[in-house]
Amino acid sequence: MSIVDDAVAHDVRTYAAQVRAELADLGQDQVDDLTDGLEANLSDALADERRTHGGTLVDEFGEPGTYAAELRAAAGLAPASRGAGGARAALLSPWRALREIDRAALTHLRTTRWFPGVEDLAVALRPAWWVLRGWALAYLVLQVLGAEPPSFWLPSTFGGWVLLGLSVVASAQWGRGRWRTGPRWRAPLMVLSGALAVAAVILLLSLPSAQRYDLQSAQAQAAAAPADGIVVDGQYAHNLFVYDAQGRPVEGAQVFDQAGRPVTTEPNGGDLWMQQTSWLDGADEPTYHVGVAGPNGETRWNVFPLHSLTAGAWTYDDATGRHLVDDGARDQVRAPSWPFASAAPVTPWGAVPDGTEPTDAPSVTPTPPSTSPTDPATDPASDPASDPAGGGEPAPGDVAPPAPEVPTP
Amino acid sequence: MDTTQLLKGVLDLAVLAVVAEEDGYGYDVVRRLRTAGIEEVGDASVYGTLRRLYSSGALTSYVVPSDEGPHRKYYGINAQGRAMLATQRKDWYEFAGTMQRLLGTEAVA
Repeated sequence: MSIVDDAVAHDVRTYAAQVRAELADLGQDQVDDLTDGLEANLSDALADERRTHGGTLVDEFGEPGTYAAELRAAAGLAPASRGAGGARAALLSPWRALREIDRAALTHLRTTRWFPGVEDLAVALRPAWWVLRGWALAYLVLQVLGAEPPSFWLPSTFGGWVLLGLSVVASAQWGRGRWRTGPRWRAPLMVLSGALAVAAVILLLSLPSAQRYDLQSAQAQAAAAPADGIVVDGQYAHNLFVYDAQGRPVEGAQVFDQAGRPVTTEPNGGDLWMQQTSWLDGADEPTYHVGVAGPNGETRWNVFPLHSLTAGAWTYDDATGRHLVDDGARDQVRAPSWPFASAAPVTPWGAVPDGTEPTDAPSVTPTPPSTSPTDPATDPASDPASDPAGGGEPAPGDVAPPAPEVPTP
Repeated sequence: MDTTQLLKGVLDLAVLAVVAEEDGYGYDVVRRLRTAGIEEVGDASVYGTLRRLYSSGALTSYVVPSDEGPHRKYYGINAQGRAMLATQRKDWYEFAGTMQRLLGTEAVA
């Protein structure tokens, strides 16, 4: 009796061990869970007299593999994957562990009150994810190809739309299980899908701010006033040289615009760090333009041509944050070289018929004193300064000469 | 008709019903299902189902040591299991009623 019992118990233990071996890929804990009490169940089944018994345990319960598969399937666990051996299994073991944790977490979540509803909702939203995944794929491909600007929502080209359509269809068909991809493709596609999920989240989070930034910088660029200065042929002029109607150089010519605002080629005059820097041949320090003293001690930068001084002749004034010319260096101021000694004479519209002297010239007065740059700055300064009254005047450049005359009483 | 296919869909319900009646261990549940007339179900399917219902939180489990042999793992139903049972029972009656009406009218026609 006990010998028979022992033999049966041995068979049961052997059979149970074989079943456990078939489940080995699930991990020890899960195998223990699944087969806890297996021996008792098998023994009870064998002891059940109402049951028709076969000869061996295999006759009774089927092959251990089949039994294990049935157990596994009924418990809702994935069927054993075949052929993963050695190094491959070792490589995949962290992946398996991860899936195991994932499955355990899911199982736990499903026992909660709220999760099933959330899961239902998530399943219902899957099509949206397929579209999003397709969009992310098309976005990244277009981005890599450089076919679109760095931030965009939808393609701007026909080819881009075709690509987007194909990606969305591919993503949806794969998501719906309409594409039978072999097991070989399954893992790479899963990885791609995961990467696209991450990419989609990043894109959705970053695109709005990226676009806002693009828009802001474009607006700022459009709104920014052009920098002060005089542009000739696309380049900033460094200095201006005025010739009178007879073509003679005019020293100390003051230049204003139609509103009486001083016109200068040195918008940052007085700030050596911002001013134009030039190096004369053989010089060991740079040279900067120097303004002209106005009647109230201010420095005027619209008196041309601008003269210049080497860097050593300036001192930085902490109080004003400006660079001032050293008193002792005034005689080092260098006159610029004129582009030509004289220009061709012209007949201005405001000139007297004999052409010797422009009629309006005396009131403007920059012509006669051609030597000292400071002299002309004093007296005509008031004239154009009172001019802004006529600021709205739409006079084009060629009728400009009479303009300062109008407001003069 | 292959009733094993039909049974697959309602094995949870059957197992829940049996356990709700009285706590039971693996083979005990199999035996009671068989007694009730469900013959075609494999032992392992019942054990797996018990395990799955336990994992999903519908059953409780406790181990009873046995003097004579290996210990037995008992399963009992809990509140969530009862709720599941009630829902599935209702679904079953509705479905069975639908099938009955369908088959009944077919037979009359």
